[in-house]
Amino acid sequence: MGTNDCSFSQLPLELVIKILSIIRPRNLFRLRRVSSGFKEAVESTVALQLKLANSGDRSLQAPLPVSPNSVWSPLKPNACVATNFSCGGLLYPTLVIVFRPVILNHLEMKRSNLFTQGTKGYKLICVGYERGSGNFIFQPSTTKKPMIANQESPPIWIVVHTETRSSYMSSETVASVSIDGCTLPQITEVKVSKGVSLQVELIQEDFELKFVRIHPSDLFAIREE
Amino acid sequence: MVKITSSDNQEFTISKEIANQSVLIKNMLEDVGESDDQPIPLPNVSGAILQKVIEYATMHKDDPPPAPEDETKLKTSEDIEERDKEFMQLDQGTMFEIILAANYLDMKNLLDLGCKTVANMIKGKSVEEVRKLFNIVNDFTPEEEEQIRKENEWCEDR
Repeated sequence: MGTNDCSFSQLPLELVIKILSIIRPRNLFRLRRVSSGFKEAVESTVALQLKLANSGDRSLQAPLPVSPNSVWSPLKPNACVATNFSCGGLLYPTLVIVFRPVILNHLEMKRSNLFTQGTKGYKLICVGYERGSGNFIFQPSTTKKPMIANQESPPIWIVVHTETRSSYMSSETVASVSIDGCTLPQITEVKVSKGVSLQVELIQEDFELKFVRIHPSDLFAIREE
Repeated sequence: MVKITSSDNQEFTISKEIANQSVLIKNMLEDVGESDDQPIPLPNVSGAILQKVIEYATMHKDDPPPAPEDETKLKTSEDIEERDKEFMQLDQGTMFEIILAANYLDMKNLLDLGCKTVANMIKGKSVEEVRKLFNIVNDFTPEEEEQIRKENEWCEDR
């Protein structure tokens, strides 16, 4: 019936975004591999979702629906969980948080099938994990356990609960926090430790943290230091 | 009754309640006034597609008006009525033209239906299957593809 050979490629970006915004984030992100146009559309969709999530409306800041095979245990009932993932800081300011090396000894990460075991260093306890989205919630641990990551590991996506500024998000444990290269005044005693830079994305105007993305390569840089 | 004409000069006479499902037509009617007998030109929609759009609008003429867009509401593609699923059993070209028409005519429910249908087509498909489905050429260089593959590692199935 079509009067011409109208195809997906002919849809304006606005409509493609509308379509892609229906797809679950994890599946959506995979679609960046389809083509350069698709990559642009996916990243625009993610950017829009982040913008909406960051607009102050709390309805998006609840955990997204969990697939039947998912495990989800929020940090606290009011845990700050926005959308499922972040994406390259596309249209958003990039927040860089620099942890003091000392805190790295008190963080433990486990329960991630995305990583392999066998190295020392960064530690976090994963208290929430949503298999379908790649969403992880971590808490610092007082015990030391081997880090579960290697050089080839993909970025770790962490949702940080900072409604009350959790223990490791303070001036004592964070060396510096900056947005687009501008250091925030709230964090004093800025002392950037070489290689200890952890990418943090998606923040609100009050600098409340929503996502932390940690590159394992950064963690290796810490140890090498 | 309201007269509308398509891009290929096909004329349709529809009831006002059907016409009003399009915000574009509704606004035009308000602008030109009820007494104007001139057909409303819709240069972006062909007769064949307009026929389908009217079919949809007729099917939904007794529905309550759509709720205002809530951008923050989580969207789902699983709440499509059976009659709408049947309506959207079309070839891809027609389906995309209906989506474009719904967008042009500002028919929220039809646009949502089209988008959900396409999203459902994408869901569960591999990258290669999506390319094949929509006849999309992989225009990445091998280096670019490798870079994206690495970036995507965290979300790929293992």
